[in-house]
Amino acid sequence: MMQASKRTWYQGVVSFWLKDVGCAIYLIAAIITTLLCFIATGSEDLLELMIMFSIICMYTAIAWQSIRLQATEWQSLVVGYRKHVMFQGKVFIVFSNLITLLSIIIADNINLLATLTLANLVGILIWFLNRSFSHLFISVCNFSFFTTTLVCVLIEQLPVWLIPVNVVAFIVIVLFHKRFTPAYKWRPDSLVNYRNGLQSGWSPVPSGFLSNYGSSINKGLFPLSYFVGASLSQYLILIALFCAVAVTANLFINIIEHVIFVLTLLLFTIVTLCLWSKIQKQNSWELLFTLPIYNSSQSVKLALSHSALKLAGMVAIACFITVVALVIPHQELLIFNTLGYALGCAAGVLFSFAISNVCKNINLLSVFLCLSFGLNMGLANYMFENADNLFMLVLISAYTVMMAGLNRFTVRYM
Amino acid sequence: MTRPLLSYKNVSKQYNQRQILNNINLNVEPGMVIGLLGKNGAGKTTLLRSALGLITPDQGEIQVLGELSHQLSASSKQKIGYVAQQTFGYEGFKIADALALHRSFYPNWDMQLEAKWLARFELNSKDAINDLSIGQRQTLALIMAMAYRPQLLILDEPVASLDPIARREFMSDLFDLALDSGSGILFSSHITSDIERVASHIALIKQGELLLLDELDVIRDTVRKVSFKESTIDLSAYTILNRQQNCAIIYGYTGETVVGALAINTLSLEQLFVELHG
Repeated sequence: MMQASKRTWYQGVVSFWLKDVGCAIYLIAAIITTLLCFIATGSEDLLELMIMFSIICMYTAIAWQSIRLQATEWQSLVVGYRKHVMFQGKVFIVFSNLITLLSIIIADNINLLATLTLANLVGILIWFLNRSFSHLFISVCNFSFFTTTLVCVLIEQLPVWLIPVNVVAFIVIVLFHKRFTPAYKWRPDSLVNYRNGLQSGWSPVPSGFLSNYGSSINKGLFPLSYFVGASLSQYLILIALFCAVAVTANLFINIIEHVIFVLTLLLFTIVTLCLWSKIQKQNSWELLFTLPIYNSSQSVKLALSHSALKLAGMVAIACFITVVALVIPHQELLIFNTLGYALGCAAGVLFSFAISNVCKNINLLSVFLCLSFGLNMGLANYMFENADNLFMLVLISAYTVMMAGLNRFTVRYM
Repeated sequence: MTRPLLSYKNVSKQYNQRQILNNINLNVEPGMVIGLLGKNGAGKTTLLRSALGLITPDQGEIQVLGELSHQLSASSKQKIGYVAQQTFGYEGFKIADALALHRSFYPNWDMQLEAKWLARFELNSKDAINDLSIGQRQTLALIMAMAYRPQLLILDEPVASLDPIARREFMSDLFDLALDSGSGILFSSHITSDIERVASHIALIKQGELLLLDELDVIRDTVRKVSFKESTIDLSAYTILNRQQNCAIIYGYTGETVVGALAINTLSLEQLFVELHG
């Protein structure tokens, strides 16, 4: 017999927080943006967005862990287990708050404190709701991310009076939450919610949404649509709808740059979700091989790379048409920039697919997708801003062809 | 008289207007190994979960180590071992890391027992849990639930995914644990041969009702299948577990002649299970 071994607060931290994909994707994003806050101290708009994003992402990672706890039947019997996991989460929260606070001090702008307190208020709501109702994760997170981003974009600086209001609301929630809901209680549906969430990539689109309209798209993009599911066509329709609304709104107010930023963000978020969803459904390969469509596994893989290429082509056309429709009403036809942007988006899609061809490990894939997400976003937006000459266009065209080749070449490693 | 480690008193539970548990009365005392037998959906998992306070019964009371199941103290929790049907909780960990963290919560963790079982079930402590087979995960969950020698062990189909050799060895360990530590064990299983091998008592549950609870030997000796021609046969001296047109399963038979019976046959546990659900 032995006495209980001494437990450090960080024991299991890597396995809990970084090896659980559902959690890691938010935590890594939170850590990166938290650290980027230091760099963004020169631009108050960007810093505001970063503070909001990093803090909410951090709370979302904790909310995910709380769903995992709810799904673990034995956790209530292991005295101190829950406390141990949640303490690590609290350390992360304190860490990101300290860093963001420091960047606010460097930026010397009290209004950003209102952003920080608001982010904490929204974050604690996400966490506390999800530690009792695991099925709310998707809706709560999407709503929170959407509204807070909107707040940052629309309101240049949050008023200072919001600081005490947020702080008081935060304290009230912390003090009285136990009266309303039992936290971390095991529920029969928690494990299902956890696994469904992991496999669907936390898709914000309801499963039956627009499914009738997407069948021809799904057929055209088979077998990619087979792996990603009906959400692929739903996402594409969603992008088309967004573009239509944005183009209409742009007729009345010049929002070209905002639309391009959000469109790029939406596009690569969707690509990331699709690829994540695809890797979670690896068993589907076995089913696909048995279909009388393909002669060998190689032909399936080839068909998959072709459908990825088709998707990239569709993305390029959609982006080109949208940007042309955006810039023409303002009499500034930026043909090189527009083409460069469209090719940049297509190249980004192909690059992400090439990564997913090579990375079989979900953790590795998550990290690389996060990195490629940033790279693709940066490249596409840079092309729109700066690709105003033929040389840049040739360069991005060459890069796109290279990415198409990379996607075709790496498909053999699937 | 010893205090039961686990005690169900008139426990009932409904889900969506369906009776899952119906007036269950059951005691688990030190040294008892109760094998819980029942079809899928009979209420076994609900019964086990309610002992841990995961599910609150609509009626009745469950006491665990003298405390109400939904108000267990920390010291009581440390004396309970539980293996759920679906092993989940340490995904992302390596076996060694998961065990290191898990043992840090238990002051009485037996390292030798842990090492013995790791070796016996050929688990490599460097392996990632995500890469383990279902059976290996189940074995690890069993080690985690048993290495601190709990007083009360609750196992929900603990050996369903193990191979026959591992199952046999595990069952033998289970029995030794109950004998050595005076633990009480309540485990559910579909595999009647496993139950027969280790259980001291059998609890048979059907549609949420506890049909039968007794020592295995008593059940073997006193449960019979009586075949008859006339449906007017008098079986009032026995508990009738199941009655059909030309036969009945009776409980409480002690060797006497039953007037009107064509045949009185003994039943193995598996036969009894099949007959009761026929």
